[in-house]
Amino acid sequence: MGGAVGGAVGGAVSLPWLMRELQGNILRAYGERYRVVRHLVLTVDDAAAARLALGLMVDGDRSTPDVTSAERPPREAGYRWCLNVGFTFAGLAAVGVPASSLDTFPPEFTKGMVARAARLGDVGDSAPGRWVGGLADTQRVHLVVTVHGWTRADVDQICEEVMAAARGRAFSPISDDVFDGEVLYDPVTGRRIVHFGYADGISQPRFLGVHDPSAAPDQLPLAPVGVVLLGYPSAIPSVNWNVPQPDVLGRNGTFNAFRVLGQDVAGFDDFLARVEGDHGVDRELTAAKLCGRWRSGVPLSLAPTAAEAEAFHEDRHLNEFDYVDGDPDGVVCPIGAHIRRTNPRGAHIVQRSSNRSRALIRRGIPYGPRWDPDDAATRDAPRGLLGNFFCASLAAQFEAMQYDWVNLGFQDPRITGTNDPMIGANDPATSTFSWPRQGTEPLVLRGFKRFVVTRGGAYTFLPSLPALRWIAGQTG
Amino acid sequence: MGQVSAVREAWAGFRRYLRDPMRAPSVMLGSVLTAFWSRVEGPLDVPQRSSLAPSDNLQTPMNLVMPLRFPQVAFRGQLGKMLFQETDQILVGLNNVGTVHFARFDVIEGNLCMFSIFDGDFNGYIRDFIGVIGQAFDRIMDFVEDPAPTPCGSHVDEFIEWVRLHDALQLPELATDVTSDLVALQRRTLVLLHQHPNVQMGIYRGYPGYSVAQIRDGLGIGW
Repeated sequence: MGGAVGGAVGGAVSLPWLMRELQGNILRAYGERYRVVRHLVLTVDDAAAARLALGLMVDGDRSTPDVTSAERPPREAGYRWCLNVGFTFAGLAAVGVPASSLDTFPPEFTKGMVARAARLGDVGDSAPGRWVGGLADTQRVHLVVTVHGWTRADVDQICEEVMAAARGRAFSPISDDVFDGEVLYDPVTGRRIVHFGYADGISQPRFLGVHDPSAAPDQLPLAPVGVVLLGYPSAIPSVNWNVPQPDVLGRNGTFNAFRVLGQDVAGFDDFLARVEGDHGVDRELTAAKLCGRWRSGVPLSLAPTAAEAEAFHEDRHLNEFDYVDGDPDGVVCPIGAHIRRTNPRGAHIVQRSSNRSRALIRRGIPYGPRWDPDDAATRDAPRGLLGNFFCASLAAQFEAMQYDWVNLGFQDPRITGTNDPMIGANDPATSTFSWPRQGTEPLVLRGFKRFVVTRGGAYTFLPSLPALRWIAGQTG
Repeated sequence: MGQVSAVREAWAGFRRYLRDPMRAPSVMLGSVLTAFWSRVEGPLDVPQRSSLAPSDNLQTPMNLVMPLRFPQVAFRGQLGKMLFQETDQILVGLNNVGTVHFARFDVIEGNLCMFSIFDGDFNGYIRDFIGVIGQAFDRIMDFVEDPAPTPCGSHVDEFIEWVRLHDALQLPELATDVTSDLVALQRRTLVLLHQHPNVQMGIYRGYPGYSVAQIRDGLGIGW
């Protein structure tokens, strides 16, 4: 099976060629050492200066930090940082991409995340009017420059150099708010986690010709690269997403939903305690049922009990399961659990052609201090996740996931009308989570709040490196 | 006598004309004003509701009105033959979309119409049915004026936009969804009607708030 890696990826395209063309962190994550991140949200002050700066960021000259290609193996090369550049639709216009090209971008991208708020469940406290950092100012949010580094000092230095490019005349931050994140580790296990305490980064789509399926078995088949890159067959037979024109601009680009997601860890913890008090259920079991995995990352489908999860030490096999056989009614892993909702794997779902077509590449790093109920100084500090969700079609993947599956439970009639218990737009007046049990009535949990609140976001386009050179060469 | 009778008849006709609510001076004046308001307001669309109530996302109508290239009966006959040929693909495909309550093709006064009720997001619905009956729609494009580019599956965004333009405007079911400014309700409604010749006004649902799959599941006929 390993022979497939490095062969043809899509058509006659070879993997080494493709990796030279792409921005990094899309097909493959940067890796464990890059544990600090900053997202610079910028507005273009001077189009010509911005194009000059962008040109310097892809020309290989070390005077300005270069956008990281997917080819560069950061760890081996000893680079202490990585750099990505994403453009909003307004940003592409601001740097002089001609209208004839702008007209070829898909409508959800041209309208932007703010205009799609209701579709995404960004209402109430999550509505754009409550967003931070100027992210709701669609006309001024032009670029999201993301810098990953080994340390905060590495990131600070590269951000300074980016802002100083083209004599500092190119762009400026849209607000004083900073979007800084840092990987969290479980103090006991040392495992990488999110604020809610779950192990992070376990399940991601893997691609034909890119990943070696034998490295970490997964019952899901490898996905075509067209799930995330423009210019290749999508996961839906006979459907190909439009490639923005000219071809050099669109091909090998990807769209990104950048999200600032606040996480109410105290509220989540309170809910687990309430369930324990009301129903006598252990908190960790409730946490596992809501998510579909134990906080260690072990899936309920492989370890239905805490004891089995405790004894499970085969990290390579954390994705080697499906819902097709053995658990059609969700007795082991509830149908409404977070991971089953957002990735039904091979299970029978209402939209029969969509099991694998809505896959997203998720690259997220937490922000804010780790939650400690005994630390009064940080207990109420903002915390959450700075997330990038890469896909070839924001409408068919990211939005469809949010609209149909996370917030409606449309994929299975037994959960239709309920929202994802962890990331859904829940309201205590209507929220419901059904927990089927063997030989008895399901345990129905109600009255829980929204644990993840949108604090901001933007739809961006991450062009290939040739596309960045093309943009830098525009004269408009 | 003949002339007197003709004058009386004309006078009676004029009085009927004045009494006809559809031709009353106020209606005519309203039409003139609507044309003016429409120019002032620019293109209006129905605002999107921000509610996340599940029933907002279920049982949404689509009323696709596609003018035929030719009105002749022989042409309509060819259309009918093509739809018969594609019936299996269309039925199996819509079944696989999984979110369609019903869908039907009608020919009405020179238009091929596809009326359907579906669950979920409009764009998602169109994308899903391109995925399963895109080839049938490629053939339909041969019969309609100003067709969408084909194959539909390679021009997804253009096809979705084309469908949106040919979908009859659905006037909101609540007046407050037209505008929160009820003083402006009549004016905005008139402008919407002026700008959208095909409009759906009102809908009844016998089982509101249920998806196709929930109904099929409840009936025990699989979903």
